[in-house]
Amino acid sequence: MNNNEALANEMGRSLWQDALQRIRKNKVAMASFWYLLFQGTVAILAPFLTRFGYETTDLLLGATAPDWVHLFGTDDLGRDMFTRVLYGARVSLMVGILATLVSVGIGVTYGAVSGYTGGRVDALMMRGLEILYAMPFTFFVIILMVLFGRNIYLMFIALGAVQWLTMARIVRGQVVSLKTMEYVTAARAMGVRNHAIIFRHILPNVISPVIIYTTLTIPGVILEEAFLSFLGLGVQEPMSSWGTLIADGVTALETYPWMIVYPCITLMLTLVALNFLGDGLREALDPKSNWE
Amino acid sequence: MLLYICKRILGMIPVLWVIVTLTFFLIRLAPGGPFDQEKHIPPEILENLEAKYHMNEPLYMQYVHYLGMLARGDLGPSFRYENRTVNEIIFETFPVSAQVGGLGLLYALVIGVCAGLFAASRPNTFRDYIPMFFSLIGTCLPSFVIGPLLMLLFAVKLQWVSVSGWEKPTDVILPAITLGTMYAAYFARLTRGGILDLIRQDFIRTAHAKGVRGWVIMLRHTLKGGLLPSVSFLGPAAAAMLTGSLVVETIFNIPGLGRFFVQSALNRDYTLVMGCVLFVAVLIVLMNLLVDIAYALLDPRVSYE
Repeated sequence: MNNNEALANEMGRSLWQDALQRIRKNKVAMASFWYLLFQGTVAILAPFLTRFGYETTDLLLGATAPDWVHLFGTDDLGRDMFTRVLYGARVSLMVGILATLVSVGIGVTYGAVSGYTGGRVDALMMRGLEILYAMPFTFFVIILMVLFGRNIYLMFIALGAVQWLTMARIVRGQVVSLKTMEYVTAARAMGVRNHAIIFRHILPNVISPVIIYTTLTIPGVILEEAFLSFLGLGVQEPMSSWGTLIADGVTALETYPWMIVYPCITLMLTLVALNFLGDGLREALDPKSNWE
Repeated sequence: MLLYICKRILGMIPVLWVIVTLTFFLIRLAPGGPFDQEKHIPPEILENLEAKYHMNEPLYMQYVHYLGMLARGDLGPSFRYENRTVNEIIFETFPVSAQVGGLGLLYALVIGVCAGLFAASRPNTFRDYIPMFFSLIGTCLPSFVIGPLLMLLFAVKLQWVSVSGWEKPTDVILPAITLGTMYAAYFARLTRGGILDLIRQDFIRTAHAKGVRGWVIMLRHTLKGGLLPSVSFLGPAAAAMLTGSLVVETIFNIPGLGRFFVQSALNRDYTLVMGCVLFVAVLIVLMNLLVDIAYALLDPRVSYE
């Protein structure tokens, strides 16, 4: 055992282990991480955590204030708000994660190709990006949702396709500076093939900004989904997401205020936690920079 | 500089063309049309309607026709609001959105920059933590949460302003605050970050060593450079205010461009949808140009000659 420890000391620590240690010391980021894990688990286990169905109405009961049976109260149709918030978390988190994956996929590929190829292709691709930056994207998502039906899968793609621009820029900037590094030149001189250079030498160095920006994209996507659902263009009744719950709450603001309170609190806690985690990751993975 | 501006304005044309083309074919790809109303229209009238709006021609002819109209600055007649042109509708609704958005942006800038300055003046003390805590809360407060809360407090409980509508001049206050809060939070973070970056630099230390007073350094050296990140965020922020007004206009029942846009998309009012998208795109591009010019004026290292 002593031997092992000595060996571990001799081996030193990788950059990733350094980062892990740094983030473990960051209490706020760790608390956010555990909260998000809890939120995710609760969302996955939703059907086992509640006795009520998210669409079961109880018109005789109507809207009741929170009590021990209905922790978060019920809405005007007598549906249990606790259940609806739980199921809403499923939709909101799923949209957040899947749409972000779409955006990361597009953004990293676009940025890497543009940065690595360089020259005229790069200039053209960056020009394309500039054009896309001028697009009123929210309007486009609305057009898509209205015209092609309010389909949840379309929403993943539409929201993801909107959010990749900044990711592409970050990755491209990183790749451009990496590919002129001496170790890459050395690898090329040794006859390493292009795709090997990209996968072995360049992409691993791009991972940390990608991770950081991904954590910061998820809250943006969750907000955007809530925004669409709020306008009645996202998730459809009787399914719920945090956006639809808040929209319902707004209409009953004066009469049943608890209907808006709980979805708002859950949404905000999740967004705050994601932002803290993103900041923590940035400090841990990239201690020198403080880009906003 | 003038040359640069001319170049940029010319550069707008292909950008806008791509946007027009994309939108044009996107909305026509979708199932359904502007004349699918609940009540059935007799076929003769439908034919006349389609002829009037050139809907009976092949798609590429419609496209050419539309581009021709655009070249003359005409956005065409609305499909749904009879006898009204898109130009008229935008002309009427945009000032409303612009009032809300402009006031919101002003509020966001003033509050955000002040909070950022305040926080940066004593970094890592309570004077820093408190505004930054509020800024974090602010970035996580979407307009559709803060709007109803403000409405509940100031309109329902205190009755200082009316709940919704667009009649009195005070009706602009709550929507503007709703719209601006999130951006005030961003501006605060950007200003703080920008100033803290500068404070460590040599020329600031030199000024301190010369014995220049703290507030003079703040005004003459740090403020100008520290505002740069906020300035570059102005473009996206202004654009987001325009689109963010979709929700705010719905909540507060304001007859602005945003609400018309959602309605026109639901109605499949092709020309109105296209008009709105194009109009907003032009605004975004112009806003970015203004930001770049402001950048050159503030930062002597940036030059566009």
